[in-house]
Formats: sequence, C-alpha cells, structure tokens
Amino acid sequence: MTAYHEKRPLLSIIVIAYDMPRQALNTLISLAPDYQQGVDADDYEVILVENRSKRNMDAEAIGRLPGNFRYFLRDEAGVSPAPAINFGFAQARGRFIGLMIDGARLVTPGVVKYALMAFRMTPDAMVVVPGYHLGENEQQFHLTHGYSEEAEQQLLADIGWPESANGYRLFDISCWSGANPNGYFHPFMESNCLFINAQVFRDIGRADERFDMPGGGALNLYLYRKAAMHPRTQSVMLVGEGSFHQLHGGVTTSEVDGREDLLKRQSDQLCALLGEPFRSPTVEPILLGQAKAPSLRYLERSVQRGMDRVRRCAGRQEDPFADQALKPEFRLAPVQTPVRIIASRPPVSGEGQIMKTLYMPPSIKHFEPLHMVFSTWVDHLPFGYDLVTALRPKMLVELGTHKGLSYFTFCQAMKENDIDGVCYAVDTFEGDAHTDKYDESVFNAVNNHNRQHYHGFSYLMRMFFEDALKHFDDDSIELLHIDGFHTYEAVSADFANWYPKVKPGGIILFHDVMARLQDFGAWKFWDETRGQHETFTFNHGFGLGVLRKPGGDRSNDHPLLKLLFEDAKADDGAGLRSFYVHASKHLENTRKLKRLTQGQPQQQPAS
Amino acid sequence: MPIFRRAPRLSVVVIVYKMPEQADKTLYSLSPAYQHGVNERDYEVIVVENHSDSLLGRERATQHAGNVRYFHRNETERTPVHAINFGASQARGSHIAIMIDGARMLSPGVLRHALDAFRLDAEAAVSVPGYHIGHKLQQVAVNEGYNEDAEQVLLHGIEWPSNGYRLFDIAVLSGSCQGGFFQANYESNFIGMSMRKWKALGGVNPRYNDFGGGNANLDLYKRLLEYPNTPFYLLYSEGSFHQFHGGVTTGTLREERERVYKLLDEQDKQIRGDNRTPPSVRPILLGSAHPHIFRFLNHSLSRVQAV
Repeated sequence: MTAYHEKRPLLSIIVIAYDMPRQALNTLISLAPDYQQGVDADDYEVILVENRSKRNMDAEAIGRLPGNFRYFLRDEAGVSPAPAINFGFAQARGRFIGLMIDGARLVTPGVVKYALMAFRMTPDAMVVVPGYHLGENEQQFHLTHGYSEEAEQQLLADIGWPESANGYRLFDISCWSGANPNGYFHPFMESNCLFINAQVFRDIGRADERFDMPGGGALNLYLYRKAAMHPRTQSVMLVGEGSFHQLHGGVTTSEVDGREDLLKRQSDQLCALLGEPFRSPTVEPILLGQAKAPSLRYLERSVQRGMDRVRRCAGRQEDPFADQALKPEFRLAPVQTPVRIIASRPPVSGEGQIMKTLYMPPSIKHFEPLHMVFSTWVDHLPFGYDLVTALRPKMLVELGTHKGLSYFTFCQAMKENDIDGVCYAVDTFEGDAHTDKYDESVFNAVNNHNRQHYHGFSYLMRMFFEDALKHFDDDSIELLHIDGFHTYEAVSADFANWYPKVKPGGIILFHDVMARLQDFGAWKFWDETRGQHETFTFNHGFGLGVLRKPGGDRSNDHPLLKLLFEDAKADDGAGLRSFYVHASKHLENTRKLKRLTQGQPQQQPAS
Repeated sequence: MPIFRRAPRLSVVVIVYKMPEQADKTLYSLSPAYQHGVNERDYEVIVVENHSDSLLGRERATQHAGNVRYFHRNETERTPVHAINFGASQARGSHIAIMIDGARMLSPGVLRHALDAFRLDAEAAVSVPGYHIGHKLQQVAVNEGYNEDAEQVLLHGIEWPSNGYRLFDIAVLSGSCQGGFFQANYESNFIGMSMRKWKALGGVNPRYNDFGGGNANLDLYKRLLEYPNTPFYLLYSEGSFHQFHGGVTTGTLREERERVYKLLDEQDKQIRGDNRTPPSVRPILLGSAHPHIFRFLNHSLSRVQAV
C-alpha cells in the first residue's frame, strides 16, 4: 500500500470485493491516477474492502499502484456486502464518496474528473455513471453465448486495455447493462458507480444491513432510489463515461440455475424494506461530459428510446419526470433549511451534546480556516462559521477587523455555503492603544486576501466607525460584530450608535467580554447589558457575547438560534458552551498536527 | 444604503439596433421570471442600444427585471462592435456573456447552466447553440414570405413564454450550428467567459466596422475557444432563438444579402488572413435532458457519424 497521504482527499471511492481478485485488480487499475485523466492524485482515495474468501487479492499488487489506495481485508460472517460498505464508509475521509458495490466493474478514464466537476457545480450532486457489460451480450446469458473469462481477457487485450489512451475503447467491446438497457433518457434502476455527498449517504441511513442476501440482494437499487429521492440531490449523468462489468460468477450477473427465483426473493425484500413497490426514480438528470466517438452509438440509441418514451408518456398523459416534481425545486445554492440527520446511528464524538436537536454544526464537517493569523478570536472560529451558516445574513458588518481572523471566517462561511449577502469590514487599519499602531502591511495583507478570495461580496471600509454609520440604513444589518476599541466607553458608544442599524431579530456579537486586562471594559459593558436582552455568553478564550435584537419573524428560526436562546435555558447553556470549547480545541489540534507533519510526508499521523 | 453592492456573477451584454419588439422578447427571456433557478442578484443585463429611428428605449428595456441597465448611444459606424466593447466596460460581474444580436431570445436554463459552468471551471468558455424560429432558416424563408406576422402565429402556437423549451419545437438549427452538438461550429449568440479572459482577448476587434459587425462574432468565438486553458462548455440542451427582423444577413432578400456577404467576407480576409477555419475544440456537454432536444440530438449524431 502507498503512503498514507497527509492531504485530506475530497473524494473517497469505496470498492467492495469478494472472490474476484483478478477483476477487482482491474477495477483498481482503472481508478489509479495514471489511468484516470485530468485529476490530481491527492484529490481522491480508493478504499478497497475485501470480504475474505478462498481467493483473496494480492496486497502487493495493490501496493504497487500509484495513488491513494487503502486495502482492508476483513472477515465477514454474512453473505451481504452491506457491512463491508459501512466499514469502508467509516474509513472514508472525503466529503464525497463513490460507491462501487460490485468490485468487478472497471471504468472509463474520465469518471473521477467529471465526478469531481459535478461536485464543484453543486455539493449535492448525485453523479451517475451508466453501466455496461463487457462482451456482446449481457453476462447473465454468458453460457448460452459461449462467453468466458478467457474470452473477456482477450477482448481487453485486443483494445490495448489498460492503456489510459484506450480507455474509451471499452465502449467498442460492450453492450448495455440490464440496469439501464434503454439509455440515458430513461430512468435508471441503479448505478454501480455512484457518487454522492457523504452527508447524503448518512441521511439515507447508509447501507441498510437488513439486506442480508448474497451480494446484498437489491441493496444497490434501494440505495440508488433513496439517494435520487433525497430532497437535495440533483442527478448528474456522466454521458460519455461508463462502468463495465467483468465476468466473475457474481450472484445475478452469471447464468445460474434458480436465478429467477433468487430475483423474486430479492425483489420481495426490496419492497418490504422500502415500504412500497420499487420504481426506478424518474428524476431529471443534468448531462455532463464529452461524448467521445466510441460512446456515440449508445447515445444514438438513448435518443431514440428517449423519444419513444416521451411519446408514450404523452399518450398516457404522464409526466416523464414525475419523481422530480416530488422534490423541492433544484437550486444550486444550498437550501435554506438546515441539514437534519436521520438519527439512525450513534452520535460521533463531540456531536453528542447537541444531537437531541438533530443539528449537525457545519464547522465540524468541513471547516478548515483559509486565513490563519495570530488573534484571540481563534477560540471562536467554529462558532463564527456556524452562526453565519445558520443566519445566512443578507448583510454582515464587522467593526474592528485588524488582521481579519474573525472577518474572514465569516466570509469563508458566506462563500462556502453560497450565501447571497454582502460583508463589510470597517476599520482604519492603523491600530489603537490596545493593538498599538501597526504599519501598512496589515492592511495590505487583509486587502489582498479579500480580493483573492471574496471578491464581489466583501468590502473593506477603511474609515472610522462613526463615518461608516451613514452608509447603512436602520434595521438593515443581520449580523453585527463589535470588536473595536475595548474600553467600556468605546464599546458602549459602538453599541448605542449601531444598535438601530441592526435588523429586528438580528444578532450582535461582542468580543473580549471575559478579558479583564489593561483598561479593557467590554466585560463591564456585557455584565450590565446581558440581563436586559436575549443573550448567550461563551466564557472560553477572551469570551464572546451573543445578543439578539427583539422582534423579527422567529417562526423559522434555525436550530442553532434555538440552541442559543431557548434550549440553553434548560442547562444554562453548558452543553453548547462545552461543545464549542471542544470544537475550537479540535480545530487547533488539527492545525498543529498538520504543521508538525508538514515536510515529513512519509510519517504516519498520530491516531 | 451601503456604498457597495454585491457584484453579480455574470454580466450579459445585449446589443439592440432597430428591433424594439424582438429585443423586448429577448429581454423578457433574460428576466428571472423566465429563467429557471436564478435570481435577480445572480446576474445583470446590460442593454446597449445604438440610436435609430426605431428605438426600444429605457422604459421598455428595464420593465421586465430590476437587474437591467440601459445605455443609449449614438454610433457613427454601422457596426455593433463598439457598442459591445462599451457594454463590457460597464460590466460588474466576474464573468461576461456577449449577445451580439438582441433579436435572439433564450431558452429558460441558459443562465442557470452558464453559472454552473463557471462554477465547474472559472476559466470556461460557455456557448449556446443558435436556432432560427420557423421551419426553415430565415434567410431562406424570407424569400417565401416568412415575416414577423408568421412568427407571431408560431409563438402563439406554443404559448410562449409559458414553457420556453417549446421554442425547440418550432425552430431549426441556425446555419452556423448545423454541425450539431459534438463539434464547436462557427459562432454563438451567447458567448460567455471570465472578465479576465475578456480583457486578455481585448474584447471584440473594432476593425470589424461594417454591416452588423461582419465576422466579429465568429472571430471572438474562435479566439476564445482556441485560447489556452479554456475548456469549452456547450449548453447543448439550451438555445438562442433568432426572431425575424430586418437583420443584415438573416432578414434581407437574396441578391442584397449576397452582395453584403461578399463585402463582409473581404473585410474578414483582410483582418484574419487565412486563419479562418472554425475552432476545432470538442465541447463538454452540460445541461438537462428535456425531451424537446431529442430531435436535435439525433441530428447532431447524424452529423458526426457521417464524417
């Protein structure tokens, strides 16, 4: 196995193998970065989970492959791959996952590149790679047609596989898979190479281990339908790419006695666990990809079959994309409603404190600060990130930006969560008695970072707070952060001046409400103020006060606001407070670890 | 109000000259009421109208949406190229799309998928295939009596604008897009790129100062697609649909048209020399697969398989 890479991959592809060493190795070869085109090896990892059989894979051969392959051989008491999938998922480090439940499927050279592209378009993409069978006939009929593993190896040799340049010639020696015999414009039953957001996989309950039949029975159909019908997913079909099944004596892809009976039992289990008869999900895909010459004949048939289907639907007055209508309208921006977890699993560490509300703070899932500078705000970064993500403010203002640690955390949340709002940082960038005067390099660094990352929605207003006031309407700011000069008088004045600018129901943050050094007076101001308003106080670090202005529509309050201002009453906020102490510690440790291991890529990270 | 506003992601520059009715429909097709999955703040529309005796005017130009900015200019040459470069200089977006002919209305997913493409790759080139409304190319149909009234009947028949994708049912691929979706073709009336790339290309070439800008649009399209590090995304299932108007090459009678073509061609030769072949870049297809597009997918397949 290759060295465990330091950089966290974006994508984890989970491949399950059982009693198919040669075929699964081909699959891995097709996933390696020297075969996949236009990808950075660090962007993805491949997790191969093999259930032990009489014929296991050659670990050394896997180790010789370039790229991030992680091989796990496990003993499985049952006959289903479901536990192996969940095991693989537990190892996955990527924000996105690929599921290849049948390790005998090799893929074309653009699969990883286009899957990653689809996730750039929307993190909720469900990337579907159409399926094919090697050979001229579907492989369940291989005996009838005299097709064998030897014949297949000859076919692959004939097209010069596995040379990457010949990867698309797979289309020349294959036929449609029975799961999608009518092409891209008919609903698919399943996909054997499916990419989704890891959160979506959690939401749909992961691989349901009640699918206990050989090969998982109809588990893959179940997963496909669940993922397609998840309210946030958008199907993206990789036209021009494919996954190609190799003959390996699999459960339903071989010609064996009793296949019909087996399929019937699988179907019964599927309907029982779905709670309704199975239908292929009729969601409308976005097509993405280059249609290279060898794949065009499949596209041609797809178009013809698609036209037939549309005519049939029109005749029956059916909507060809009926299931799409059941989903909320697709928008690229993440939906306003918070992510809710289906609580079908034990909470992961650190999450237990607030599991009861089924709210998963986004900072623990995917927040890595882009802009790190020395600042006492470091203790509140995860909360800052989560608060912005929860509020989705149309207008955010910070008074006192200095090196920008808090401000750019806010901006990062705006950008990563596609929030349609504007941010303003008000500061003279000259320093004061508490920070001392500083030189122009501070402003230049902030200005450059701002231009580079947050162009178009974040603006620096280099002026005194009083001079900035006139540019803002009353009741317009949804999130205000007061972090200017820290004397009692200054904080009181900032609050009095800016309070009218804040929208009813909006949030004001005060930094340093626990700092009792020099002539700092924010703590005194906060002591006087906190009782008169709806507030929450974080005591750790230099302290952060959260104040909510009265009024506003609260019927759709985000769970984080409920945690701050309602649920906190029960335990005096201890749970939430300790969660964010841990979250900031965790972030700091992750950074430290990264710093320590940088420059020593061969070293195994401490576990 | 604050001194700065959120910058739109995309600025669409639309050039209008002597076509108020058509431009009015085009601008409706660019409004968030018609375009799916985008809102007014995602993009802006910059209308540049060269003065004529048949003006669209500010009021009509801005009536469909709050993100339209209108500029009325006097132009001394019979070309839109200066208007385009002027419009681009007003753009506030990080990306820009040029619609050289204001008489071409869009299908409803163009803006959403153009924004998708720029998300996929900020340095992408994005274009949309062109169509003519009617059952023949308009330069042919005009000789057979096709006119604005005939077009109204067609649009009425598909209840435009209730489902914009039905435009495909009453249209043909325009001449420059006859090659279909699997090759780059000659030009597009929706050419999108990053502002940075627009500046690097130097905008449209102002030497194209004759009727309708001559081959300025083909030249821009070719230079963009051949520019290094520029993946080409074709929004294959969207379209820009030419409405009949007295345009230079699509709405005049044959003899006159041929005379003009010759003039334009000579100017193009002077500017570009022999380097005038269409860009040979294989497009990346992006877009939803609505049924109205199947007919044209079929056509496109026949064009590549015949080769």
